[in-house]
Amino acid sequence: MSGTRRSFALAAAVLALALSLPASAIDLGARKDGAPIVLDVTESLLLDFHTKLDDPALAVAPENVFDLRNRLNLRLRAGWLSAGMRLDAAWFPDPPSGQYRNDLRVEELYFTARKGGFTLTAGDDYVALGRGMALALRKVDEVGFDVTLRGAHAGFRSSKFAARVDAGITNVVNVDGVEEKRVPDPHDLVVSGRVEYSPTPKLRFALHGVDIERRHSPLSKTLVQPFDVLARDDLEPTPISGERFIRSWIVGGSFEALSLAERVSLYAEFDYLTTRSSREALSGTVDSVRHGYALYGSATVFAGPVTLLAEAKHYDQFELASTPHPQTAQSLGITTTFPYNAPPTLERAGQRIANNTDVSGAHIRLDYRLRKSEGGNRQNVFVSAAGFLDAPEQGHTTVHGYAGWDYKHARGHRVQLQAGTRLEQAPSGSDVGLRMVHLDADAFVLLGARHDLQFHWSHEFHDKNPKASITRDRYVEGTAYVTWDFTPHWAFTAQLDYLTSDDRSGSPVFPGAWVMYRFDQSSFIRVFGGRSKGGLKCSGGICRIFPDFEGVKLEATVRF
Amino acid sequence: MSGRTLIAVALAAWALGCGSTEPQRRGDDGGASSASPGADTEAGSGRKVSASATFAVTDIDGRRFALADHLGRDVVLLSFWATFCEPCKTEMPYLQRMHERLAGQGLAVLSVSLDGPETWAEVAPYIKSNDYTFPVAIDQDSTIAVAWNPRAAAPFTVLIGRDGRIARTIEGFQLSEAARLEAEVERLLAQDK
Repeated sequence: MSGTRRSFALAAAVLALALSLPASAIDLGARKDGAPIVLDVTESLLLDFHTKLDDPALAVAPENVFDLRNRLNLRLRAGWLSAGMRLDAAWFPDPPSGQYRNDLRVEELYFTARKGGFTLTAGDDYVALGRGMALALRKVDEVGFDVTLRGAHAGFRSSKFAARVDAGITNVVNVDGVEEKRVPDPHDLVVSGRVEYSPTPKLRFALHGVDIERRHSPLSKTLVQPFDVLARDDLEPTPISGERFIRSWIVGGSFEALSLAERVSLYAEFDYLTTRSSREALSGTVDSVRHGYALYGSATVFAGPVTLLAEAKHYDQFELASTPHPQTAQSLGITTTFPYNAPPTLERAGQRIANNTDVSGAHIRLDYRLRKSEGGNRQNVFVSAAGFLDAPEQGHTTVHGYAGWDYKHARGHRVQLQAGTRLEQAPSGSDVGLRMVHLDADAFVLLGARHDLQFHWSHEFHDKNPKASITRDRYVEGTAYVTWDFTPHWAFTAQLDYLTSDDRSGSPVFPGAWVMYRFDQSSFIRVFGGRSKGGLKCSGGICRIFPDFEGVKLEATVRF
Repeated sequence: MSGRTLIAVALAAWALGCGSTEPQRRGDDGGASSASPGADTEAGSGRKVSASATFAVTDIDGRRFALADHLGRDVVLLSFWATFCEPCKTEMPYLQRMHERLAGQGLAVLSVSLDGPETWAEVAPYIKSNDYTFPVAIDQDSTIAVAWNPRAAAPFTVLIGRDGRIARTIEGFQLSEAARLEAEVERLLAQDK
């Protein structure tokens, strides 16, 4: 066993033993002024045993691959001061390739002072401006992204004014929770500011600006290099594709009216993007400037049992993301990039979207609340329709309609059903396109004082390229599970994923089972055995490909 | 000792340690009024909310909710949810019932949406179409989640007693636990500050 492996094993053991201390061990008394000093701990342990590892980068799928990942969140609070840290560890006893690397690092670190309307933070913080169109550095658990801005953050909020200024470098979770590979930090330099004015509590006007400088520029390198010791990633002087310098500016503003006359809410935002880049070519340095903009608006009307939501968007060359790390992109083939904004998609949650940067669209949703029954049962129905131009790509059109029913029994039972269809059409004469039908069902059934059932089924029928004889692919894809909660401690889940696409090899069914034990209501351990389906997953327009899983995994979370 | 042995020992210790966070299990009757000794311990020695964890937000109707206004006076229930979280939506009728029944006795409910900016527009329509009347705020810059729910789990509930101490944190929602939560709230409301 190498020294590195031994040190990781030792670190894991020390960590686990430390966390096995009783909760009273973290009561830290009080300051002289009487303010309590407390330590919050959230500890997450993930163990995977892949009987067969799904990694397209490897010619032969490795078997019997084990890995351990650990996330420890600590937060110390004393009066108006707080400090927090996230310590990440990853251990691969027998790494299948150089992309899987042992790691132990302070992933997030922050010190915050909050007094009156002022907040000052040094270290890592999330930043989102407006509806996330200009900047959205945040956690998107559904796709395994977690981006913070490591630097200085200052904010002020009063009843009429609010302001926020942030400056720092982008920091991502380096041990990727989806592919388990080690991804380097982008270390892009971001400076942003936003001011808000609320003449009344229901009205808000805002202006904001963002400056993002990619790592390749001399300024970025000069400023970032001293801080690099935290992340241990070397700056590579050789730019990818000769691209030496990329800098983006966004300026924008928004208007929001909340529940006017208890009837109407409005929101509108406009952002203008300028991206300047320099590329080293044989003929010398080539400079270029691109412009883009984004316009979004929504109106919500509340009228008794009827709620109407209407949204529209028009995005033109509005793309904002990190660039691949020059060093690892070339030597290890890791080209993961991270989105820095998340404009509204107007799509249903989880919808696969190929383009949310150059697209126009509108969405309308009507909800109707049926009369409450004498027994207290409630029902809602809704219908939703959306249409897009230049989606999924330029010249294409997309329409999507779906409807649903939600029933809530007075005793707590609930049933929710949704069904819809989507049509993606190419310009006339082209064979590409998609017809999709989806069904979703959820049920929650209370069986007794200590027993309840949860059931979920999502099913999609896809017909890709329906007019093409060779590339046509008709398939079904879905996930179903049923969970029996035996409270307060146990939960048992049986699940079945399926995917019959021609693009996939191997069995089209993915059976698996979970067993969960809750130590208390916020701490648990659960074990999965079987197979689960990967593939393209999206959340809010942010998509990535997940690997299939086959084997056994353990997840545990403890909070103190 | 080999690395694998170390890991095995660590896991065993970890699991045993987890058990220690709840000194005794709940009684078989599941009665919430006789909440588990573990819960009593949590409530009795629960950590006092520090000033750094307080926040003030504007809800979806333009009303201001400041946690500091309620600490030490009311029982506060923070409920984290998202529009794409079905268990969260199943929990909401219970929140509404508690809000209707117990707000007058000193219960302050705040529902905190963890939705990303791309789905913020759907938060208010969902709440209004279901006729929920408790305050709902969108955690736009993750300030509340960072302070109270760093894993951004949903559903996730924090219950704070009149004494300003955290009485309970709950990840997930099970229908068969809902009545227990309601009874726990009533028990905290009956306690002195």
